[in-house]
Amino acid sequence: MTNKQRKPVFRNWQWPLTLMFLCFGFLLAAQYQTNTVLSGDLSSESQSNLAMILKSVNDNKEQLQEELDSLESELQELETLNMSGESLSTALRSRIETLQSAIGDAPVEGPGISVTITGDSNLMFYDVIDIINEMFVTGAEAVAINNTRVTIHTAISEIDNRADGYSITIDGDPLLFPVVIKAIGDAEALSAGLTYPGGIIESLNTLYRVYPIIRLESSLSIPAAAPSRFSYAQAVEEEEEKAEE
Amino acid sequence: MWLPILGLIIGLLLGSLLTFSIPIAYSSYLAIAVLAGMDSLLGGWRAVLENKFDGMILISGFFLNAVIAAFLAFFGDMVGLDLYLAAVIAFGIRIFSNIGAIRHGAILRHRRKKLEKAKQLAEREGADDDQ
Repeated sequence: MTNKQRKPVFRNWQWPLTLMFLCFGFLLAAQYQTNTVLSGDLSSESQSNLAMILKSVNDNKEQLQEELDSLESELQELETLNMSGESLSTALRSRIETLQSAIGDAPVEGPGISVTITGDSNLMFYDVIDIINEMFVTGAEAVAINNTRVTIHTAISEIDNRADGYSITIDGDPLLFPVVIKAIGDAEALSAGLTYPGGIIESLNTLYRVYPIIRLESSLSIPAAAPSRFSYAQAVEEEEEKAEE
Repeated sequence: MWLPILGLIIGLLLGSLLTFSIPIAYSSYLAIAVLAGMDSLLGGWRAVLENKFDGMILISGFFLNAVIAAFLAFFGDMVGLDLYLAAVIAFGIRIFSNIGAIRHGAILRHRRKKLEKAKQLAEREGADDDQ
């Protein structure tokens, strides 16, 4: 070393030392960051710690699995419930529709027949009743006389007009000619039910000289009946009905 | 005096801002390299105080020591021997001895400066007496 000893150049040491310090700082920061990452890493943990971590993670996993299972079964339950609710509501809706057309609460349309009776005939109210009864017997789903829906409450009767003789009434209102009775159902069956030999039409023709004209219609529309009111009758509780069943 | 410290700060900032992070597997080698670099720097400081500083020796020592230390640790891992401990102990001892030498040098320099000042003062007083 003695031969290497030289005149000290005071300013000379600063720049190399600064450069090296810069490099050192850079390395130190890099190492610090790497170490920070490492300390959060599992590979730096001891074996017993790792076993403990593994156990707790496994426990956690089992717990979560149980929770998942219970939630899935709950979901399934709710889905079936939802589905049954949907089917219930569709069933109810179709039932309501059936009942509405049965009691004449809703206007309906479909194929059927129309029976027209002109004014120059001596039609009596029970002839009308017979025709309508025959229609219902042969499968009419909705019947209307002169656009008045025939329901279970429809009263077909007659009044004495003194001078003019009797006139037919529907729910108290006089029936005007030509009388058109419309029935929705299987058109062939309906017409066959009226026109079979010895049937209503034939007896009307021969006995009373009433000549109804029957037309098969591909599309008929029948209006809704006036809403029915119940003042005395009360619906029986469903539970009692079930008990009776 | 302040320039190397400024360099250290800039280096630290640079390393932090670049989020420079080496693969975890090489982390221990970098640690050894950092230790070797620290030793070299302290050696450089000591040389400055002893008036025998050489920039080339510092730079070559810094990098070569770091590389060799890292390689030693790597080699130790390869043969299943904790050779990095050798580097840690060697550099640890050298760092302490360097710090000791720096302390010595700093104290001696401080005393010499004091002595020179006192001498200058005495000379000036002597000159005053001459007048």
